[in-house]
Amino acid sequence: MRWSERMKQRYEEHLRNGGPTEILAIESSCDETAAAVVRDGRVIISSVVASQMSSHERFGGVVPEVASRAHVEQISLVVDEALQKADRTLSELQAIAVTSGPGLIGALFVGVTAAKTLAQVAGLPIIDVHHLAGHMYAAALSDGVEPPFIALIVSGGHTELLQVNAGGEIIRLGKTRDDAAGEVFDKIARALELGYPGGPLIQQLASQGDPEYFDFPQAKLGDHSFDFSFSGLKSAVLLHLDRAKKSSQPLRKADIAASFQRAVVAALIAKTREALLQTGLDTLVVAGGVAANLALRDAAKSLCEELGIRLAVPDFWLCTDNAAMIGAAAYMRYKQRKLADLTLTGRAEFSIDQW
Amino acid sequence: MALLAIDTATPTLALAVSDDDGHVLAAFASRIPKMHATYAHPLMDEMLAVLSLEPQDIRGVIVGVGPGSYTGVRIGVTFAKVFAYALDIPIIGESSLAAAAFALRTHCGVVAVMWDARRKSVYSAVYRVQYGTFQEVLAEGKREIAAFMTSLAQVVQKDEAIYLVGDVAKAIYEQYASTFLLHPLIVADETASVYAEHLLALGYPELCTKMQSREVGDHGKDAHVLVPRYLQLAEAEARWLEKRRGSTGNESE
Ligand SMILES: Nc1ncnc2c1ncn2[C@@H]1O[C@H](COP(=O)(O)OP(=O)(O)OP(=O)(O)O)[C@@H](O)[C@H]1O
Ligand SMILES: [Mg+2]
Repeated sequence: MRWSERMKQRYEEHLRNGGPTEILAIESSCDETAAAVVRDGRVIISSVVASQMSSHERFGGVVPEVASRAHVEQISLVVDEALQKADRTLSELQAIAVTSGPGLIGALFVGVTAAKTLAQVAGLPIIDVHHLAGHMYAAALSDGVEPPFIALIVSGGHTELLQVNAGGEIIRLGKTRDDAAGEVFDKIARALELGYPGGPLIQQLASQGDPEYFDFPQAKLGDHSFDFSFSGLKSAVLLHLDRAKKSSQPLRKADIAASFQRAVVAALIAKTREALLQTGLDTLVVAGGVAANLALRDAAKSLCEELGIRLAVPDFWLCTDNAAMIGAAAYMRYKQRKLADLTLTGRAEFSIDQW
Repeated sequence: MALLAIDTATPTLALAVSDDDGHVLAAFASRIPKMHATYAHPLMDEMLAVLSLEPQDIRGVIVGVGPGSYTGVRIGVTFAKVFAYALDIPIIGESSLAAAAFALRTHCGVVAVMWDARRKSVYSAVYRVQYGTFQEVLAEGKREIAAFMTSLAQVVQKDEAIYLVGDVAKAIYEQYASTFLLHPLIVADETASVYAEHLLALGYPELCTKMQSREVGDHGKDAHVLVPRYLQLAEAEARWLEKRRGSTGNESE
């Protein structure tokens, strides 16, 4: 029997008979090889992340070819560990989910190929997950939140403001026009000679600095747009550093970090507030690697208290790349019969409203 | 019960299924570059359906581990290792170059395989074939074309036929025909291709040995350690090592 027939039999039977939905999810879009088993989009039964951080550190950033090679070495081990920790066999699961994009194409191919192979062998449905949707649904794992909501996704490669309707339909309100929020954190950290990745290091240094000391500019995109821009802020900080280094004055690194962080957070929160007011939605999700930032979490909390709405943020460890979030995002698709097939492939560019 | 072979290291996507005795039941090859990730699984599904087989009927896997396209070879290797892991069956990796040469095993002479590796270099190897016997005479490596041709001249015996195989074979034939005047020089394949039926035949003896000699429950573990043979470091890595070597060299002075 073909995969599609074997798969459909199981799938229809499960939808008819009900029972928990346990999904094996795979994520390999960047520099983490990850697998997880997630029940009903809410409960993490196991989650394994093999980070390549230490192999990329010496290059000062992720090298695509190095990442792809590491994924091939890790993929079957990580899947095996996730299944073992969950004490499940493939045939006990309901579906295989995988990040198909956006990300490094060679890296994505490894995860997608592995997922299709597992689905084919076990006769399971394949669910295609957008990486940023994964970041967003990480909040469901920590908080049980369900659409509709406004989502602010701030990660190493993306900064997006989304309206997510009750059925999960995603409307993109705004995105960054230049650098992503995490990317500026990383770039400023490099300029401050703090190391990689920069976000946590800036946050740490900022805690000893005065956020009001410098008044770095925030982008003013005057067209009522929900888009972000961080290149002006980045240039201002770099220019300041340049000047300060040339003069003999001591570098106020902690104050720079704190003031920079304040400016980023203020820009993110300002647009988010507008989006919440305009749509009238009563839940905010903040997700992605930068959602681990304490200043951003605090500001989001104040905003939501002020507006009297609910805030959902993922636990810290679920903010950066992992596969549990992919399993969470896949659940709704499973219920909505939005399945992929064996021709699923990686997509380096993949706009979230195309998902 | 059946065996599976797959190679995606070249622009050719190649799959084959044989019975337990290594007799090919179905083989497929397509030359649509950059579509390996999309079509490997649907084609496999189709092939098994035609043969009325289930994935569970496959008892062993042979995969071409390169050298070749980095991205390409990873697709086949990932496919094969996850397949073997999931079914807990033995897997072996074979050189994709050797599999390409194995197509000519019933000829008599040396087979020089050369696939473009950019910057005037080739993924290359030389094998001696004699009516069914197959022997490596120059190990696979990434070499400058000129250096490879010098090595080829050294290993080839008097009057021996030379079969050139690969996407640069034609160009090399034209450039080097005069160097090898005393040899029959034949362009046997102008493409960089592996056909999975040859890969299957090449790997079959080793796979059989493995299937017979190992504890059944251990098989899937082989899959974890299987990796492509890239034959060179990632560029960034090579540069990093060079820089480090340079700087430690200076320090010791
Ligand atoms: N505490 C923090 N404060 C600020 N930034 C942080 C913090 N922790 C992590 N980051 C930033 O988050 C980013 C990593 O997040 P994530 O793993 O979501 O990004 P990515 O997966 O590389 O990118 P994408 O998801 O867009 O493909 C890095 O830029 C890092 O500096
Ligand atoms: Mg991410």
